[in-house]
Amino acid sequence: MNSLGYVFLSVTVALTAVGQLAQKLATRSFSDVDGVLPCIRAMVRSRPFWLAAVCLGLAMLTWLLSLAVFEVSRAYPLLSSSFVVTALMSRWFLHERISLYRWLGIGLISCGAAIMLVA
Amino acid sequence: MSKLSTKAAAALVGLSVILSAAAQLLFRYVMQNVDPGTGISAGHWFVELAALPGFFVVMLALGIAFYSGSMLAWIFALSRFDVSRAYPLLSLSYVLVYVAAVALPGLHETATWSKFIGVMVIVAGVSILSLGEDSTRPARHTDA
Repeated sequence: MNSLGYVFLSVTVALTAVGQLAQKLATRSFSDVDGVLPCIRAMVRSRPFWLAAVCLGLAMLTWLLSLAVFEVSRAYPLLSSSFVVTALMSRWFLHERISLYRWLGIGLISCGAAIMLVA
Repeated sequence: MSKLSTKAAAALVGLSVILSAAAQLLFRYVMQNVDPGTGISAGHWFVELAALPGFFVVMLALGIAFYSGSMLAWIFALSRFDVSRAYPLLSLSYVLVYVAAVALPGLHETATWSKFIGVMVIVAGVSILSLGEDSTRPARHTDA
C-alpha cells in the first residue's frame, strides 16, 4: 500500500513541474493584451493553459490519493523535491538563469519543506 | 498585461498562496473522512469519493474553486516572474497550512519543534530568494 503511495507522490511531482512550465508558457498568450478579462480570454484560448490545467488536475487527483494512502503527517517528504525538479526543468526547457542566491533559496526551501513534512 | 509591476505580481503570488492553502485545508478535511481500506484499484477511490455525504462534496467543490482562483492569480504573477523564482514561494502555503492546521479545530494537528524549525528554514530560504534576487538585479526595480 505504501509503495503505491510513493508512485502517486512521484507522479504528483512530475505533473506539478510540467504544469508550472506550461503555466509560464501560457503567459505568452496575453503578453500583448490589455485588461484583465481580455487577458483571461486569451489565456483560456491558449494550448499551454489547458496542458497546465490537465497536469494540475491530474496532480490534484494523485495528491488526493496519496493523502488518503499515507497519514497526513507522513504524506509529503517526496513533495519537497518538486522545488528542485521544477527549477531544473525551468532551466533546461525555458532557459531560465538561476543565480547562486536562487539555488540557495530553493535548496533551503526544499530542506525546510522536507523537515516540516517529515516531522 | 505587460505592465504588471513587481509589487502587483508579488501581491498576486500572496493571493495565490492563500487560496491554495485554503484549498489544501479543505482537501485534507475531506480526505480524513475517506476510508483508505485495503483496495488498490482506482475504482475503489472513486466509489469512496462518490459515497461521501453532500457536505463533503460541497467542501471538495469549494476546494477546487479555490484551486482554480489560485491558478489564475498564479499565471498572472508568472507573466512577471521566472518559474524558478516564483514557484519556491508556494512553499509559504505549507507554512500557512501548518499554522492553520494547528490553530483550527477539526484538523487535529499538534505543534512540534521540528515543524517549527522547518518553518524557519523555509522563511530563511524565501528571504534569501527574494532579497538576493533584488540586490543582484537592481534593474528590476525600475518598473516597479
